[in-house]
Amino acid sequence: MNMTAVWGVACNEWRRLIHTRTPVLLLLMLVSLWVIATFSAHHHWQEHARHVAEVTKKSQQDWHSQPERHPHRVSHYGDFVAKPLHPLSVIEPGILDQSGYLVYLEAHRLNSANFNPATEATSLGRFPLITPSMIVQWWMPLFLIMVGYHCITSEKIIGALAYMRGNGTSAWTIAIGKYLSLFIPLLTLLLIQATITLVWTLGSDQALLRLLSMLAGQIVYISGWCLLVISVSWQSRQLHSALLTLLLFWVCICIIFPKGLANIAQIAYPTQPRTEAEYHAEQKLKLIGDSHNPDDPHFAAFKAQILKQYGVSNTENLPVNYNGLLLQEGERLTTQVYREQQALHDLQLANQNTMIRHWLWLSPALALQYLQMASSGNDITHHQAFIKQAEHRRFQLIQYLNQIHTHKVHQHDDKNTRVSADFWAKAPRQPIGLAPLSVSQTSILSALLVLSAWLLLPLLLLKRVIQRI
Amino acid sequence: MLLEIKEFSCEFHQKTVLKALNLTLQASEVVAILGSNGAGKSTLLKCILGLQDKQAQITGDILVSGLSMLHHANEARKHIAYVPEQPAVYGHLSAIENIRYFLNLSNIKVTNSEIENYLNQVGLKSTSWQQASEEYSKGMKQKVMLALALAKQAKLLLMDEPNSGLDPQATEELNQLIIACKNNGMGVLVVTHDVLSALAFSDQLQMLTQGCLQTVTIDQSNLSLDYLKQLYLGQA
Repeated sequence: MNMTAVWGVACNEWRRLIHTRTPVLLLLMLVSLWVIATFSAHHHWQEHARHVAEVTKKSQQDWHSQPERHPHRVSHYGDFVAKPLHPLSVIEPGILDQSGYLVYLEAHRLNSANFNPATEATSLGRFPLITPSMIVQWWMPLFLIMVGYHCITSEKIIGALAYMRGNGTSAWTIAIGKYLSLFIPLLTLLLIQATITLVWTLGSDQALLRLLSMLAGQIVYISGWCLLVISVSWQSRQLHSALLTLLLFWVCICIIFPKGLANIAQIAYPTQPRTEAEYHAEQKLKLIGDSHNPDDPHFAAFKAQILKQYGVSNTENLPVNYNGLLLQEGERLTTQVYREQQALHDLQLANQNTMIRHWLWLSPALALQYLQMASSGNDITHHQAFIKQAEHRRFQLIQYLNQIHTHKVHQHDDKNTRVSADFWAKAPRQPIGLAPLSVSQTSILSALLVLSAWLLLPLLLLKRVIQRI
Repeated sequence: MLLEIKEFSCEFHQKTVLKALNLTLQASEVVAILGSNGAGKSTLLKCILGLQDKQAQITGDILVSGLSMLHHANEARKHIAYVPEQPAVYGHLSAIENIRYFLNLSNIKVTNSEIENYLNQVGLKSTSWQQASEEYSKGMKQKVMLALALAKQAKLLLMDEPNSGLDPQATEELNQLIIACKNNGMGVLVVTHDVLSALAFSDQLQMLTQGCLQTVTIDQSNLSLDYLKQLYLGQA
């Protein structure tokens, strides 16, 4: 391969683009849009991060400033937890705005995390916020189409392609030169973004790994688009047919398939809204039992077992507070029901996502989105991991308070007893961490597989059409 | 021998486009190939350049300076300068830049003064050398292509419909340039519709009809319009 000739083709293409002026204007528009997106996404992220920090601090202060009080009051006083946000959320906020990032934890209540279907996880669900990831996913391919659709077709029309080929320049020299002319400017933009992001994210959780996986996906995606633009341009005899074909590809890959897949997934595996989930949970709880009903079979059996365990005939004679034990049992049962409900919801989401993953090959844009959301820690899997951690913390905390109720509150004077504030300070409130990237490995692998195929398909198409003059 | 076509046939989708062609071209010789649309002229040029469709079935051989186009196309192309029907000149580049660009692709280094010398030879006015060639007429573009062919210093010049779209004066200038190339020792193969021009510059006239080549003997004493018409239609 004559690299001088390859660079010659690339440089000539740049000169042509600069001479035409419109591509330069388009590039300026793209960069401006990118800068705007970065600033607005950064502002958005800062707002989130500030809110998270404020809420965490206030929640901590409020928790520790609680006076001596009854433990059951404390369990209903509640506790706020915030999802740790990775700095890469500036590039890809994912489902953050739909899923929320603050959760209120309270005794025998379903935690307040939202229940959103996978439709929210696709690009159109978050159309109003322009993010840097969206620029790469949507606007860069569109820019490439507008700038590059005639890169080979026009050479055919003026006879330069036939001339070059007839004078000994190989088809691959021309193709690679054209490819570099389209790819290098965008690669430069991606690398600038990655460098700034690296400085910005340095020291954060798995920063390099997350950034590299995101960058690799973006490079492969844009590379595939460059190859597709060149292949279609090589295949077409007329400029308008090249442009229309590429626009058709763009509409399908970036709009129709991602939105269509998400909608079909929601129809195939509908998710329950939160109110419905609460209704079903309440129905199940009613079936399990009512601790206030002396004839309730479950709680009657529970009482009998406790009396037997302590060798007493009456709850009045128990060395511990029977109400505390009842609360522990109640919490165990409600948590079980809520976790079942959450598992059902997770399954519905998992089904939706599995279905979308199976059809991911239809849209490399969606594959890139999956990869970017996973890398920034804002995909459904990361969200579910956060919900699990929050739920675990809630259960541990409430059961701790119920144990204090059982052992530190006298049964005879239950309602008027106050417990030392030292107990709240010692309460287990495990810090919530961002789940590791490995939780999203299925999404990441599927996305990388699709993106690799995406690179291969236009390459095969190019190989097929490259001998045409 | 600069060009030797030996029993060359080309079949595409079970249709024979070129049938057992034989042709030779020596240095300082101009061969014109006449033929109506669809006769296979462009296919023949593509085959000489080694750019025929991959699916085409080929028999026979084409030798350029003794090198087989079927087996040593890249080497053989170094001996060819090709001027397509549409002058492949980039509008955003000047004449000098166009020549430099295309020569660079072929890894040929030339100085600016050498390029200017070639442009002088083809008669392109020096005022337009630095001008973006989007302002050029077709005749000027053809001159750039010819200068490029000269700069490549190839032995064999292939021209595809060089006169199409040119006015009579530009056509005459081009004919003179072809003769100048011949006088410089180049072998020139011209594919054209223009019988009058072909008569003006060619040493050998070939008619391509339904994929077959036929040598045309010119009766210089009877160059009437009817004769030319018959000649073009392959009935002379």
